[in-house]
Amino acid sequence: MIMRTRWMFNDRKNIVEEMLDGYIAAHSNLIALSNGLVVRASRKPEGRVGLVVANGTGHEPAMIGWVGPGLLDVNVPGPIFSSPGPAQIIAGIKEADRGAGVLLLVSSHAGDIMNATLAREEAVSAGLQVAMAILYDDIASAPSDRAEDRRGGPGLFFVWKIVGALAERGANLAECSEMARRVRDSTRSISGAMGTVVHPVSGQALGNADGTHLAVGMGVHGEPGTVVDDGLLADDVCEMLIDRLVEDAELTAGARVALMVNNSGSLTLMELSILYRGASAALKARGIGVSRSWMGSYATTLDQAGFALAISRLDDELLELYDAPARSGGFWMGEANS
Amino acid sequence: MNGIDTKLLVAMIANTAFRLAASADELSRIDAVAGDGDHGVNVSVAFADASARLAEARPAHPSDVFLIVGRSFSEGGGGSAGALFGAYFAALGKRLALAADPEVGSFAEGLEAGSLRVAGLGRVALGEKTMFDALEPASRAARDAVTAGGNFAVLVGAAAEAAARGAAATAGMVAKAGRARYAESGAVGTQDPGALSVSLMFAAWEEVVMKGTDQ
Repeated sequence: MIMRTRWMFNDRKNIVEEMLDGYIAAHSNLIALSNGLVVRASRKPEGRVGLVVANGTGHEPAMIGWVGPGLLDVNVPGPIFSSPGPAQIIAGIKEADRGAGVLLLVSSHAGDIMNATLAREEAVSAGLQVAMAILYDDIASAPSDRAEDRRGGPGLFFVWKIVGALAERGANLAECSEMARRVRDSTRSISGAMGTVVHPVSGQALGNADGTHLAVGMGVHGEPGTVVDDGLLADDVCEMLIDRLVEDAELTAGARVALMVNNSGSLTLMELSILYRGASAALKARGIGVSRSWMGSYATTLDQAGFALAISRLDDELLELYDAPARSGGFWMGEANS
Repeated sequence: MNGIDTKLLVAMIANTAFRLAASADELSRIDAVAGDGDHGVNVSVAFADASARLAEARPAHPSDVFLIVGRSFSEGGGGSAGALFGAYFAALGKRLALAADPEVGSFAEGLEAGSLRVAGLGRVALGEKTMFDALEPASRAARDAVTAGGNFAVLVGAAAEAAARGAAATAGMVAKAGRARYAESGAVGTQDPGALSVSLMFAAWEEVVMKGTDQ
């Protein structure tokens, strides 16, 4: 298999910095760069909870593309696939603090949790009000009775969206933290990947997809998955993965969900659409209604040829927050002029 | 003479930066078995940064050396290794700061404090194929060396030997923590990159300490 060895960059060491410069310049009406932090061009009003996510890069548009009204206040971008350190996260917390406390939303990966924990310890001892919610959705990473050992995946965008809407309306820190956990517990995802990803800095091939077989359950940093029968058609794959998601979430006929078909990097929109077709049919066959749909690149693994299916159970309250306006570099919904 | 020479510590960190940079590709290669293949780069960059900061800061007290190394990790790239090494050196530095003129006993206690901090932050125990599998035996060997009346060179030599053995043993372990736990067969057959970094660090320290002793 031929792996990519050429990229469009200038200097390996400055990939992240140059990406930030370019991405922010392209969205300067919405976001700005402040000492390496991605912040809103117009800060949230005083007295509202600030939302911060710190994460490794390589997942764009997550998370630099999720800063804006109705979504996050600050994103603290780290090196590729590597959490930023505590000092940067503390700077992000201070930037997001509008006098009502800051919620640090953490996608569950060892490095992200540890750096966020150190940052929170130090920020709290400096007198700041900081809560932390550890979020996960990837059912391939641990069984349901050890859900807290699961890692974060593309389905966490449901959390950013809903908690973002709630914080924008002035909910307090405890309410925002509680909502983050509630949406997390309603959300499940699972991935499938076919292509190898090469780390552009280290040059290492990640994961165990080989270009021919389908590896199910790879992580968002190319953590290896389980290679399954390579003869499966798209509909078979959707049936298999939706079955696992629905069973894990204990959904029964009559439930309503939001469905995400996420592009891990280089899948064609043709394939995404065919997967959406298969996934929604598999849900429908189980009597589960798809109330809202997202299809596209929400959390990528560089240019991986792969995808993830994510579902999040909805009720009327969540649906209303889900539909609230939001606007960021990577997402647009309704009118958001705050 | 059971005291600790601050200049020697600075030289030890400089040599760690040098040795880890030389091994960065190998560390990244074994990290890619179960992780994202950037461990070697991240750790060697942080030690190089620490070494540069130390050359400029000219610390007067042994604790300052490790507090500065800790800051290079906490202000630097981050990642799991950044958090863990940062917390390790901060704990070691804080322990040494308790003594006006720290001796080998303080150093051994500092290594133990660092090791425990890593276990707590990473929520890991022995045998889970992490850097703790090298740090814990190293701090235990350091404590034993002090109990037996050893000087700083003996302490570092014992810690280096124990860390190397601990790191080698991780090859036979099944990963239960960090990204490596997702690898098929838990990356059995490959040393944990964090543990190997720790063992290379202690080996780099020993190299400097032995040179100092020869002179």
